[in-house]
Amino acid sequence: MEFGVVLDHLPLLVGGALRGVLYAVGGFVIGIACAALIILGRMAWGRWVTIPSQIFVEIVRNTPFLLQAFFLYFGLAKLGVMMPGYVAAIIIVTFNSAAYATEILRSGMLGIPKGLLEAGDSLGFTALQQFRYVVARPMLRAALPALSGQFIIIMLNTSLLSAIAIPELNYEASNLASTSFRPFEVYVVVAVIYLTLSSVFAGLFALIRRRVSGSWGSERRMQDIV
Amino acid sequence: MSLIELNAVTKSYGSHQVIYDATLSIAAGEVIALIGKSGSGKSTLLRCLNGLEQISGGSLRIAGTPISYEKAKLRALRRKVAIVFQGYNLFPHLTVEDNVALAPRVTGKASGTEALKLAHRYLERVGLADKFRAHPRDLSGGQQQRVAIARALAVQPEILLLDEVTAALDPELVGEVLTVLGELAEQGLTMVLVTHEIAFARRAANRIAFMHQGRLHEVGPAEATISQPRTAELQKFLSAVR
Ligand SMILES: Nc1ncnc2c1ncn2[C@@H]1O[C@H](COP(=O)(O)OP(=O)(O)OP(=O)(O)O)[C@@H](O)[C@H]1O
Ligand SMILES: [Mg+2]
Repeated sequence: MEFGVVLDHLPLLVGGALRGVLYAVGGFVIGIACAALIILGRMAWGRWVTIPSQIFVEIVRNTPFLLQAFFLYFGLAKLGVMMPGYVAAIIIVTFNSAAYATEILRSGMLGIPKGLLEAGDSLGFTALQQFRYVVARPMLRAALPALSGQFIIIMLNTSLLSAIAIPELNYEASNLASTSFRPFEVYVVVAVIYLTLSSVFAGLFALIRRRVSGSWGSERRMQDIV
Repeated sequence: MSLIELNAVTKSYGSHQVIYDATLSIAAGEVIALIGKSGSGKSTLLRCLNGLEQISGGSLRIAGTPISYEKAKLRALRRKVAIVFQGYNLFPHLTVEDNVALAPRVTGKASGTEALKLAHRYLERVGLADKFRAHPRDLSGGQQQRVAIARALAVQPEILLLDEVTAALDPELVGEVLTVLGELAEQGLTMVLVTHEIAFARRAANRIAFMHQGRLHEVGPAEATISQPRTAELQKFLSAVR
């Protein structure tokens, strides 16, 4: 065991990890916003939004992450659509977040009692008002646990971005493993870093959940309602 | 001119016809009680009046305007015709006052403070002056139902529809809701209410409409219709519920 050389390069690994997290957080936030817009569009315009958005969701969810990255970065380049790796990376993370979040929010919405939607309709709300005042909070609340899990999967998936030369944690780790001839030690440290990040974000999501539920009833009561 | 005019209205779900030939005029200030067996079409007819269900045939005019299912027209209709449901359907994530203030604020263009003031006024009117900041889950069924009534009233509708608003309540809570409805009737609000409370219907309603197998089987002045039902079906229904 020789961790000394790995620890000497710890700043390099941490830098890579932070870049990965940046892609994950940025893409996830934009992705959730897109998913919310998709749900809103479905409420306002019905199948004209539902059909195309569902096609998008199915394509993204049913093809491998790595393949998507290759397609955007290498495949499109052959057609003359060039983009820097970081643009391809943020697009991939955003698309994945949007697709999974759309499904998660949709199932969160299915839990909202039909009567609440009728109440909003009967008060004369537009689709946007209905979404904003009636649907958004119960939907998000119901979706938070699944969103939390999805974020962690997406964060771990950013390790695949090394394949399109994004200098994230996995990328830095491979380099260090081959230059230091200490792959075992390097990957043990990398695993610890990923575990730490996952726990930190799981904790963060738990905190958000507590805040959201704290303002309106205990978990148990909410399950009766939503 | 009558405020609500149903002319030969029909309603079908696919091939299943639920409402047959409903013709009825309701004047401003009138209170109509819809009674009848389960499945006779009371809720369906009521929900047609604010466009929650689309009529399949005949014509329906509210305040002289033929009903239209175009989105903007429906929203305008619903500011005139409010509805209260059996299950309250209060927004669980909002306080009582926000439940009531929401519609005036977002659809009625009242400012936040105006909307709250309005909400407080209607909550006081239904006897809930001490519950402004409570959450729906902390209220009894009767209190929740009164919040739902206040929420509907805050839209300042011309017509209030009520679908079995006491049916989910424990007997001792029914009275407090009926008291509120009785007061609204006295104040001249036009109401159409589906109810199982025959005694209340007799006292608070001007007219009773008895529905039977999707038809308005017998319609007449409340007192006379209950004390001297003309049709055998209504006689049978009344003796069954007594
Ligand atoms: N969305 C729907 N799709 C198909 N059939 C429906 C639908 N809603 C109601 N029905 C049918 O319409 C008929 C009348 O129902 P409705 O709810 O109006 O009766 P009701 O008089 O209100 O009964 P209750 O006293 O039980 O509430 C019933 O046979 C019911 O099965
Ligand atoms: Mg009914």
